[in-house]
Amino acid sequence: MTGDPRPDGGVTTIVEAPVEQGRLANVADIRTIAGIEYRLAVRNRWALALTAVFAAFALGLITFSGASVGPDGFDRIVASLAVLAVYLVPLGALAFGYDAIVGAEDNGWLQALFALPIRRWRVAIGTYLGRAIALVAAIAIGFGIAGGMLIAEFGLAEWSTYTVFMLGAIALGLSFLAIALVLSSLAREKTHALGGALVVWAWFVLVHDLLALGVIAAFRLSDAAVAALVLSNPAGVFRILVLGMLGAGGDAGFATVMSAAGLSYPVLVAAMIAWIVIPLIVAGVLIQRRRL
Amino acid sequence: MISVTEAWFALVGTLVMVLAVIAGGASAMTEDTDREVWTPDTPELAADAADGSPAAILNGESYDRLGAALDAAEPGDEIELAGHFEERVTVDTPNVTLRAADGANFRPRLDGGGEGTVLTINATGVTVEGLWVGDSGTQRSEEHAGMLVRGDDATIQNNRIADVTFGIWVSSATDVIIADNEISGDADRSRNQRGNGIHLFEADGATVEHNDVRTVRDGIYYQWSSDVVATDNNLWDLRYGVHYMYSDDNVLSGNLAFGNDVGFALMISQNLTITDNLVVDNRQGASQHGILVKDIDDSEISGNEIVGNGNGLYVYNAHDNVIEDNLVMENHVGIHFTAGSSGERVVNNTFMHNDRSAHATQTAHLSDWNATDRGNYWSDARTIDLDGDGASEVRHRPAGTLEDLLRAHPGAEAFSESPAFDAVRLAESSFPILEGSGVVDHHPLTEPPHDHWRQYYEDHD
Repeated sequence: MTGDPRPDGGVTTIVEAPVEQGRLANVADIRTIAGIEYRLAVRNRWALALTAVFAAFALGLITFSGASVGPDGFDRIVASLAVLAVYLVPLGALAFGYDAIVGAEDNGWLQALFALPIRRWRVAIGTYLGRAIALVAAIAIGFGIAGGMLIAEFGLAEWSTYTVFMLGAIALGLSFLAIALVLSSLAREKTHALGGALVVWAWFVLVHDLLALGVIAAFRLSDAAVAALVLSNPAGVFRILVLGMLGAGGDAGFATVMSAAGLSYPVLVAAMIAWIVIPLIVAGVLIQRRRL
Repeated sequence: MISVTEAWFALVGTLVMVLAVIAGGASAMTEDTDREVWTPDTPELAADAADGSPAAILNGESYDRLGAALDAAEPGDEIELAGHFEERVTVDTPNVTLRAADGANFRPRLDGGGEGTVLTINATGVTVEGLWVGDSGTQRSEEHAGMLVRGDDATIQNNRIADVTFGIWVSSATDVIIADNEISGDADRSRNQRGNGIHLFEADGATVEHNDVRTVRDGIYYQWSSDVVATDNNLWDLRYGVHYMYSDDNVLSGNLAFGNDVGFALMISQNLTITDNLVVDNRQGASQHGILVKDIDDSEISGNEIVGNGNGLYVYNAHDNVIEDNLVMENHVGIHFTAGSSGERVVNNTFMHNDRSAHATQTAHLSDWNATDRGNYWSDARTIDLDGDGASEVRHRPAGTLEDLLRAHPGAEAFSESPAFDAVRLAESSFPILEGSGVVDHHPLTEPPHDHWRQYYEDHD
């Protein structure tokens, strides 16, 4: 207790939280680290930069697709935004998260944390949560600005699809942030994590689906196999969640294939949550084994 | 824990999400996702057949049997009818007119009693006007019909023909006029057990206009009939709205075909002119084509609106036709191109919001449709118009590798709209080295040539 109303960097708050083995103390550890990560993200302008990127691309897309606004223009714009988000949100999340652990080691912060009596996996969770809050807010505000423009143009009649799109984009961001944390926990150097992030991005955004198309073209796959190909890519799960909601621009075939493959909304939502939780657990395990 | 200076960012983000979810929940309750297209009215056949005792008036004399009046008639005579005639008659005298008596509220009724053909015309220049003709025999092989026209220059006008196997059968008679009639078959029989509404056999030079035809097999059927002009007919609840067989040089214009298996089935004919027709919602059966173009050469299909069918246009072994200025919208497949069709000119059409714009089954053959520097509008095309002339400099592949893949492996649909799809499309349109079979449009249009397409959504959104 220093009496400073704005403790900087969280150092005093750690002292503030007594080292207890109770459940309350566990949560406090995580909360403290999350708070630090969040504040750093806002102060070093990452949060604002992400917001600006999401808002700029979404607004640009809405503005330039203005020529083809029809009665079902709203659905088409949301579909286009979903296609854009498949590229943009994973890239933003990976760029924001790849240095979370390995970067903290570079500047000595990780060593300081590990010296304190805090479980390592709680460091991972705290780091993730702090950055996740900043990322979620950035996605919400960035696409929210674009959503405001859509309300001005189309009203609220079909807004629920946009809500699903925003929630999906947030889940997509959280999932790739978790994957970034895995890379960061694994990498020995920051550049390795960055390279890994780019490979992961290219894989999930492009290569995975291209290979899946090739496999489907080459073999007669069962519905379950097609479903597995879809669910093994968080970007694919997001795309199908949103486009399925929109009816993929009036394409009945899409819905038929989805239901034949057993890809109902509960399955897709569960897969999306799994793509957040499982990488997070993996990152927690990896950071336990990490050698400084 | 989180100090005020930085917390605003998370708070704003939370606020946006809360608002979005509340608005989403509110709008979900009022959601209406119907995407039906406009459908026309289907009027019932008016029940205005006369029921009184029969009277046929010829030159001031009244007969209670039409057959007797016809026996007495001289060429050029006019017979006025009233009441309900339970007889089947034949007109053998030229230039006789049969029509309803002046001032009658109900149509004089010719009732075949469920056997044979009700009214047979063997003489030339006969006019039949304002009658109700019904209840023919039910044998399709015996050609039981409401009217059988064997005389040239007959005029069949403003009649109602109901409960018949064939409606009006024109057999080896030229220059017949069939106008303003309503024809209705037996809806309880399966379509293949019914006869045709207007059956033209060697009926060169016929005029068929303003007729309403429903619940027979084919609305207007042509066999060996040339120079027939059919305009402004309404054709619904049929197998084929219009069916051409071996019939060249015909004009079909301004007609409406909806709710059939096939709107217009054009087969084995040449030099047809199919213009300005409306072909809507033809998917009630196994074929589900808007316009079937099968073994058709040197014909013009232009200015039609082809909306909400299974296949908008199904082009099968057809050569050197012009398909121009059509609006092809909301069909399952916009244009299906198959069985070695070649030499087609497909220009200035609007392909709007079809599930698949085009499908081509040519193997190792790339169809090139543009005879001019302008192509078609494809609502799913990626167009880049640098010089502002309304035509894209980037070519479009409405039917290519991905369409083939989706056809063969529907499971690939799960990856539609993915960046992988975009990459394949981009590669196909950018690198001609990846030339597969299918269709290419070298100059896709940036704006639809038909700007009234939105009217189809007026009632529904």
